[in-house]
Amino acid sequence: MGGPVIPAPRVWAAAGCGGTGRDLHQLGGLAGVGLVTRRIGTASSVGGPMAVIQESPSGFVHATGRHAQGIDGFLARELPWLVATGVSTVVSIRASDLAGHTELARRLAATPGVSGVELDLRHDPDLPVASTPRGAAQVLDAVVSQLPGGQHVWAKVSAAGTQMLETVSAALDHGATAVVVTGTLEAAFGDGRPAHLSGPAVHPVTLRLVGEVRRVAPDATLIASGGIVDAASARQLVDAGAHAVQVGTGLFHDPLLAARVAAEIGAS
Amino acid sequence: MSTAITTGGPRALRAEVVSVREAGRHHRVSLRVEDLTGFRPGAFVSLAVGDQHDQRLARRSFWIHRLSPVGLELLVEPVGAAGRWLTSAAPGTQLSLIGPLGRPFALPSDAVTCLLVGDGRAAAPLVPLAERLRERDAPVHVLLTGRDASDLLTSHDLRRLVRTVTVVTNDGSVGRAGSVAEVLPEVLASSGAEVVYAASSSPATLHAIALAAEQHGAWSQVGLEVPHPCGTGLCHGCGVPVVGEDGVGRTVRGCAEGPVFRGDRVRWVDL
Repeated sequence: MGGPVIPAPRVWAAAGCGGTGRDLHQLGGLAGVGLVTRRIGTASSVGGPMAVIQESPSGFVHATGRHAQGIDGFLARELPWLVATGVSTVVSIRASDLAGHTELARRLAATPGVSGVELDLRHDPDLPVASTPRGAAQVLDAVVSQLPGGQHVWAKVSAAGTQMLETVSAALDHGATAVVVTGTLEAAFGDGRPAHLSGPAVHPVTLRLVGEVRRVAPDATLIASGGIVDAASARQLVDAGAHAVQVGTGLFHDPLLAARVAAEIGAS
Repeated sequence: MSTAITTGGPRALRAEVVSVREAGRHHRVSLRVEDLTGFRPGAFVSLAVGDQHDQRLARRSFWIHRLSPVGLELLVEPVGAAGRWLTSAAPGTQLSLIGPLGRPFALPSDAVTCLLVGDGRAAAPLVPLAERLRERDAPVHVLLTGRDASDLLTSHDLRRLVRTVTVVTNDGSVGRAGSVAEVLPEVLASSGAEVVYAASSSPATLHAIALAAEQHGAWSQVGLEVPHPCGTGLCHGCGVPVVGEDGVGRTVRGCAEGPVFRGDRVRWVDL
């Protein structure tokens, strides 16, 4: 009835691209910017290899690795600082099964200071639970029932899934408050290992996806992510129908990028 | 004087190339940087290299070799796209600099005997470290190593700071011939060092140094060079396997939790 709910702030550091928040904050990179945390799981696997990130022309090729911050460590060591510093925080969660998603949502619901969760519904061969429309609906059901009303529940989808628009509809039907549309593409490293491509190279893809999602879900809140390198490229996504944006790998090159985009986009 | 509140943390700054001078196979790159505060030896700076039309986005990390009256000096090898760009940059070239970054070398509270081991270009942070140790009256010995004579850090400014300088090159072109691992036990014994500081671009060399230090009963701190895609702790793409105080294995960020690690805390075989 009131139309799409515009997230505040309107510019966010994308999952996995803002460190723990402290690193970005001490450089001034969180001014006017919210933080989507890196992926938080049920159990910590911090002994495993970290992300692999390689540059490619106009982009980064990356894989998440087996390294994941567990919810216990996140709540004990990272969230208190974010809350104390007043950083709007959306927690990116992903578990290997539905029970894990319920558990993560339950733990976060009991913790003051979190603005909401982001569910990573992109295709991942290691975590097949969410990468179909049906799976997305089940994950949303597992999470939404645990969270208090008024919290963000963001569903992050990408062109990598073959059923993107169906996944978007399923997520919205099952309680997602916004859809995060990202132009991140499935890619590979030089040795053939699966990876994702992001960075300015994918901005036109993001633009296309924002338009398509806008068409099938005209009333949904849309957050665009993928390829933002300056305020103008963010503005293009807003003009295409995004209500908010996430700045991701652009922060690796310029940690103040999101803050600068926020100064322009956030003010309008 | 700047009126800004200085926390000593890293800041995003503008830098300007003042000069680039050859030093053996490396180049000394002098940068004008205003308001770089809080520098401690072992800290690094992250540079965005390449011009605005460059398609490469990863930043590059460089040890701070020394502070200068206008800013700072780096040692850069003209290798790779970034190294070639930086060493051929004209005076006046502008670039983005973030720093000082990383956990630096920890200084001993007492004036204990220290051995500084520097391998090639990576010996850069050991010069300001020797200065700080000297200020604390700690006896300092230095072992410089490299592939050949052109790879060695110029030692004349170190010699006035330290008790002994031992030189080892792989090809024997200067000093003793061989590897640092072969010479280290002897230098550890003759110096009586209680703390070993080392910096190398080779993890295998640092592993050998850490082992030798442990066998000698000395603490070691190693400056580890792993590629930093961002240098600022954001990307989690520079994982270093370590073991914590609690004995539990972890993977930490080479930039934010490093670049200096205790030698006995790195899980070298997993690196």
